Amino acid sequence: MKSRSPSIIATFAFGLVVSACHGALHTGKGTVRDAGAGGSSGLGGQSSLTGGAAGGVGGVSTGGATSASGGNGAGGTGAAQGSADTRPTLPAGWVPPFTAKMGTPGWQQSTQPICDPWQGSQFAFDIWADARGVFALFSAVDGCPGDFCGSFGVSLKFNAGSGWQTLQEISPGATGYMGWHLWPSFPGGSLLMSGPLADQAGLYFVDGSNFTFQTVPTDMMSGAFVVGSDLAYVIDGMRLLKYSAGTWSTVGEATSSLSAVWADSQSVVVVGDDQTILMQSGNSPLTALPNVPAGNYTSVWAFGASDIWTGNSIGQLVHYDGKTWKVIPTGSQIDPAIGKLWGADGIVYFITGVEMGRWNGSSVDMLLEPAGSDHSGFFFDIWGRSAQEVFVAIMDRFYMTYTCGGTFMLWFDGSQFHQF
Amino acid sequence: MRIRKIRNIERRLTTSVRGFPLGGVLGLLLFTSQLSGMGCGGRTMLDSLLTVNTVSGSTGTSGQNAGGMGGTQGGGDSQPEGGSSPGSGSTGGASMGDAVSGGASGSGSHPLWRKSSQPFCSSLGSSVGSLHVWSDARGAFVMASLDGEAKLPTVSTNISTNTGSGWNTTYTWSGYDFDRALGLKGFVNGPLVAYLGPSCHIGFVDGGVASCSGAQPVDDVAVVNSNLAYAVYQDRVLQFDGNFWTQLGGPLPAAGAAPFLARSVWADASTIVVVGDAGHVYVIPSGGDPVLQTGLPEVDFFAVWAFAASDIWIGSADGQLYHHDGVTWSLKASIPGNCGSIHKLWGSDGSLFVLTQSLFGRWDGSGITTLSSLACDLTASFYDLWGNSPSEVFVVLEDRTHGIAGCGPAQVQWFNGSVVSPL
Repeated sequence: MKSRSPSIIATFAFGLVVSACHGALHTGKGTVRDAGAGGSSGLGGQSSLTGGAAGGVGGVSTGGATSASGGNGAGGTGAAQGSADTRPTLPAGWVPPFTAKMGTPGWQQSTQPICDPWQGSQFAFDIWADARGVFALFSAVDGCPGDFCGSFGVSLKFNAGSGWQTLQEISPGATGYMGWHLWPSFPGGSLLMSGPLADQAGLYFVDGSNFTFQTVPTDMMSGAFVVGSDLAYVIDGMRLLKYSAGTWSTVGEATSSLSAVWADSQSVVVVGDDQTILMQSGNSPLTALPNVPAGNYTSVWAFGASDIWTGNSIGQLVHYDGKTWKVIPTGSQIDPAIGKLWGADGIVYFITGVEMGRWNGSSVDMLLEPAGSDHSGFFFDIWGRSAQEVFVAIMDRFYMTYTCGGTFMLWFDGSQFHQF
Repeated sequence: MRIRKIRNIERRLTTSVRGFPLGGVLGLLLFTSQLSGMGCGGRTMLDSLLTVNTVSGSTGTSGQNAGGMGGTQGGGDSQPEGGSSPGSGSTGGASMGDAVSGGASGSGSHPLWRKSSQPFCSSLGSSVGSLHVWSDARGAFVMASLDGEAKLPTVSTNISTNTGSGWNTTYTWSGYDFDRALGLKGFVNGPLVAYLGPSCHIGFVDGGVASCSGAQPVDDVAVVNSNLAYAVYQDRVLQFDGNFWTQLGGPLPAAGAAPFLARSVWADASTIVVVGDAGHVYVIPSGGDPVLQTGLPEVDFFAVWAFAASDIWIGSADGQLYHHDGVTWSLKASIPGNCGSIHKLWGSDGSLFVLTQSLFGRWDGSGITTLSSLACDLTASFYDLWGNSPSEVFVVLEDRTHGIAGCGPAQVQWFNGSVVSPL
């Protein structure tokens, strides 16, 4: 579900090129560069983002980015590797394609909206947040919307409340390349990212400019969840992998493809196709929950082993209280699969292809519904820091040929949405 | 924001008595006026659908093929009701034979089904995407997915109901979010079970309100009673317990390298029979493990019906009709030709009915007797079969060459034990 995109997602062939900036992690065909020309931008325990720089990232700037607190740069968010961004400027006054009335733009002291510098089709627009701020990853691939081919790559953005800064950019080169993803990561620590780098592809712990490759097979990674600094889970096809004590192990394997994982310190739940909902509690084996309502499950969130929320491919929330199941239709019918769930304080937020809503504890609220029949807004990701601070990644295909590629970030304060 | 109440994707009843649009009326007038010179006086509009009746043939394994299945013969009328007009001798389109008389028959009067005198008419589409029929004592239900014209480039899926006084559209799915329907079954005197596209894979339609019952795409459904039904897809069997559809047991294992792909399911309270590709036939006793059947060829089986665990019938893509007597399987009949694939079986009181693309027939104890047939080409096709008794059997078909003007190609026929008539 990470890869849902309204635009063409193509398999393409080009690799990483050496960027003319410092911070190269790999020699040869690929480099990763950090954005902070003037200081550390580490994400791990060693360094704090708030002290990191937000210097220029090179390329053609399409607009100034407000630096992070303590940052000493105000670099552009422009396209990488110096290629000219030939797209027309994004028209002022984006009209969100939803019926809900938007609140005042901005989040904390951040007033400039996020912008994807790449011109390819959006493969990923992932978000994750912790106490430090909000992270967003753009992965644009060869899809050539209109005439805007030729500038594909990855940008990792960060906003600590004072503006978006670019942390990393990965430029494609001439050999094999696939899209990248940012997964739910280590709070206050490493980011969990997957994608190809030079001659290897897989899962990385990302701290600042350090990409630590994880030697665990993840060629079909479709989900991840981090519980704490030393406990994480990753889905690889039909397998559930566990990271603990610095090592990876296989928890178990399903008979159908897995889509999403949630975990706490006691339990882990994975969902997938063919009524697959499996749970491991303590040291017990990964076991199918009993009497799962038939369906293909696409997302999961839980508040414990006896309060599990799942979403399926036809727009239903399916709840398990530890004994019985309850099916709750959301009413979504256009691209209805529940792509992501995120919850806090008993409230569960969900996104489908074109809608966002929440289980408010007793019923379903539809928060963002398409305005009209065009359904131009597509939801990529959702994450939050509290029930009153939920971030949503959206692409509006009406704007995809303009600068920023039609990507927009909203946050929900519990009653209104705001662009930032 | 607005609160959307928890609901089961309710949609309001779109009840409307479907009358003929103007074009359809004019077409009918023209059509019936043309027929007026053929001795059709006194017939109902339903007779206008009739193009030719044929001699019924019996197709068995002993080579006793007899009679044409296509509409190649005109001739005298042998309808029980005493029709007297000659056939038109058409070489294509729908043809309805009299299984009882076995003689050549021409177009004559046909019995009404209950008091329904107006034929099924769906003017929404130009071609049939899918067409399904199910029935109980209340009446006949037809679910049609029709591809729209250029100005209506969507798939529209309707459920039409006929309780004996004519066809009414009782539920409509419209828009591009619904793929064409995959099948229609029902709970006796209860909800209809419509298996659909991606927005709701197993839907219940009851009293003009639809709810989404199952989230898994399925290929076939067998309803046993209000608290027991089964569905199949790929290598899985789902069971409905009155509340949820859940998976029954594990995946059905494949006998060979290819995965098992289920095609059809039949069930009663004690036995489930699942047929699928590559010779896979499973008999699952209630509460027991699935038993892969042996002694069958590795052909694709598309259809299954049973009267008991010791009286199971299956039909193959190659037109072969097999029977299981509780001990062994035996080949009972083979339908030759490119259109012989048996894709539906239905039975009642020991009478087994067979449907291929071009043939609606009945197992007569030694072969398959043709009851109605279509040309074996791209212009016509039988789609589905169901009934209430051996003397009340419904079939639905697409016939692009002999439809009623303005009503589209979807048609319904019914068999009263003696003759097949338009409905």
